[in-house]
Amino acid sequence: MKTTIQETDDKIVAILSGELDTAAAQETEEALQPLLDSRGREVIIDCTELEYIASSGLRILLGILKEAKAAGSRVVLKNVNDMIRDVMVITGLIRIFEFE
Amino acid sequence: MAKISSRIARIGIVVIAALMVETVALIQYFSVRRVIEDDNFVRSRIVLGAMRDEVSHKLELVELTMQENQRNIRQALGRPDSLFRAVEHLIDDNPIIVGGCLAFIPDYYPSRGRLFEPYVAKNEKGFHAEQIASPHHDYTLNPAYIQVMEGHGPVWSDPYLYGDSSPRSLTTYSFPVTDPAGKTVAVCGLDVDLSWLGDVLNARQHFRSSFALLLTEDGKLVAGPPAGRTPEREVLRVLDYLSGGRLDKRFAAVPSIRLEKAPHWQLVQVYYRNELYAPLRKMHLLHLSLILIGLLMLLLMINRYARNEQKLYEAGIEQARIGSELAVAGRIQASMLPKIFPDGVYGVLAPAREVGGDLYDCFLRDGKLFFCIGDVSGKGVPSAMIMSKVHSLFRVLSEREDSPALIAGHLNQLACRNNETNAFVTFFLGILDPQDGALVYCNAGHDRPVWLNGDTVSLLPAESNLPLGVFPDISYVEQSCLLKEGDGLFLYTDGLTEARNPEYKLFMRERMLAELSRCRELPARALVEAMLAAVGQFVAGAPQSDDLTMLYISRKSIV
Repeated sequence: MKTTIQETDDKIVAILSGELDTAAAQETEEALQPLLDSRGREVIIDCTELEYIASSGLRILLGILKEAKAAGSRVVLKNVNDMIRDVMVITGLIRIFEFE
Repeated sequence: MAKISSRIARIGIVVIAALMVETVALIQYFSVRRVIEDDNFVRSRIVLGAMRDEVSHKLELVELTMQENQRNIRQALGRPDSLFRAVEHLIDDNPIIVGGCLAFIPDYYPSRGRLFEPYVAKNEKGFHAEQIASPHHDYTLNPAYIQVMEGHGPVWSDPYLYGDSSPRSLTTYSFPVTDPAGKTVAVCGLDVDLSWLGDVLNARQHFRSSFALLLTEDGKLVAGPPAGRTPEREVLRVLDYLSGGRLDKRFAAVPSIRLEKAPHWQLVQVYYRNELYAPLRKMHLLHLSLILIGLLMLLLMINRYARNEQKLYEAGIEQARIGSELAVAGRIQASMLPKIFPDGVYGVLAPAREVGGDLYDCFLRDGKLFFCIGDVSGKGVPSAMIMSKVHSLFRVLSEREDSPALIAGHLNQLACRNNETNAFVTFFLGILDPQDGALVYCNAGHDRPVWLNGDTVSLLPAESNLPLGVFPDISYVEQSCLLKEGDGLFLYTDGLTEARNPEYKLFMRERMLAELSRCRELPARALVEAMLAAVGQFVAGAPQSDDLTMLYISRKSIV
């Protein structure tokens, strides 16, 4: 599971690659720390290479979303695959995240 | 107790290792010493042999000179005055002969008196000739003269010092002089200078302190090392040893060799221990240092190993303790699940670890069946704790509340409080009236249950409200439907649909629906157990990755 962060003045992008299961959750959470400091910038999570997400992973995304909302930022999930989209639909989280 | 015996064992290992290595080092030390000794023995034999040959050769040259001049002297016998010339000629022939005399038998030359001894000596200026017999000097009493006259000649004398100002070491070679008839008429004594002996003895010393001695047959010192090289007391120590005393331990070896012909002098070579074994000492010191370093490293490694073992042991104990506590926690969790099911209802929960984050519950209140199923995000102890909280809250709220939406709403409020880890719970709850089959339900982000509706097997139409614990103050939407007699509702968590086999393929919703179709007619318990078996068969021994929960609610009239 690889996490890459790219920061600019108006947005902060996180590129997730691999499987975000319970084992990778802690490491990924630490790597995504910068996203909790959005300061009004747009938060983009690129899921093009994200193959799988477990509930531990959803928990991390929720944390980022809550923090961003408090700071007035948007959170956008890009290019989620069908399986992940399915999970989002079942859990209803499809309605609280923005998708591209 | 374990610490003391461990320490003794550690010290024991190092001591044994030290003993082994030191034994090897000692064996090697003595082997090398032996080699040095053998090697030196061979070398000393060569050196002694060479010295002996040189000394013998020089002495033989004197004998040769004597033989070559026999005729000359015999010829001069007729005219006594020409004897001086003859002797001078003889002396001149050999550089180490420094003097010569002819001691005639008494009254050989009546005109010269009873005793007649012409003598010629060589010095820096040339030759000095005189007749040295006198009443004070009666050569007939000379032991060498007597020996030769008695027929035991030629004879070499013991070396002696001659001269007052700078004494020289000389030996005298005495041999018979015969007249043409063969009668011994005089004893010729040749004084042989031995100052060249020093060089012979010292030329071949390849150690700084080793030295050679030349001794007579009965052990009197003839020549030795220069005083500047070797102190006199060292020489005395060796002489003491050679005459039967103890060999001082500073000496390594004292080999000797003897001249094969008269005068049978002995050449003795003296070696010092510290010089002979100097390379050995260096080697041994190096070895000891290496051994010491090695042992130190061994001790360090053993200590580190022991410490690691101790850590592992303690970790193992800790792990066992945690394991047993988890086992207890697992039993507590299991005890929270319903054990007695109403007719037509059956549930099962198989956690992936000792404790899990799945939950289900069902109970009757006022003739209505309250049931729920839930899945806390994550696995293990943290999820189990949240699951505990939600389960208890569900019970409490369901005692008073009849609306699934309101129950869900309250649960959500309580779940959002103190939720620092952003955990959430997917949840489905329902209330069934077995009398008329009215079912009211609310789905909070959970997998939609399967509705076994007559002959069809499909997913129950359900809103996806947000899971519990995501955002507070949201209102939940409840729905209702009707269960006919014999219909059922199969609830599950994603541990079922996402069960993996060894090839990493998932069980999938489709397979679950197919299995349920097959088991449709079975009573609750049999159906659940059949589904459990189907999962078990599919998984085929692969490790369980998520908690697996199933709850089957079917409408049977409550008796």
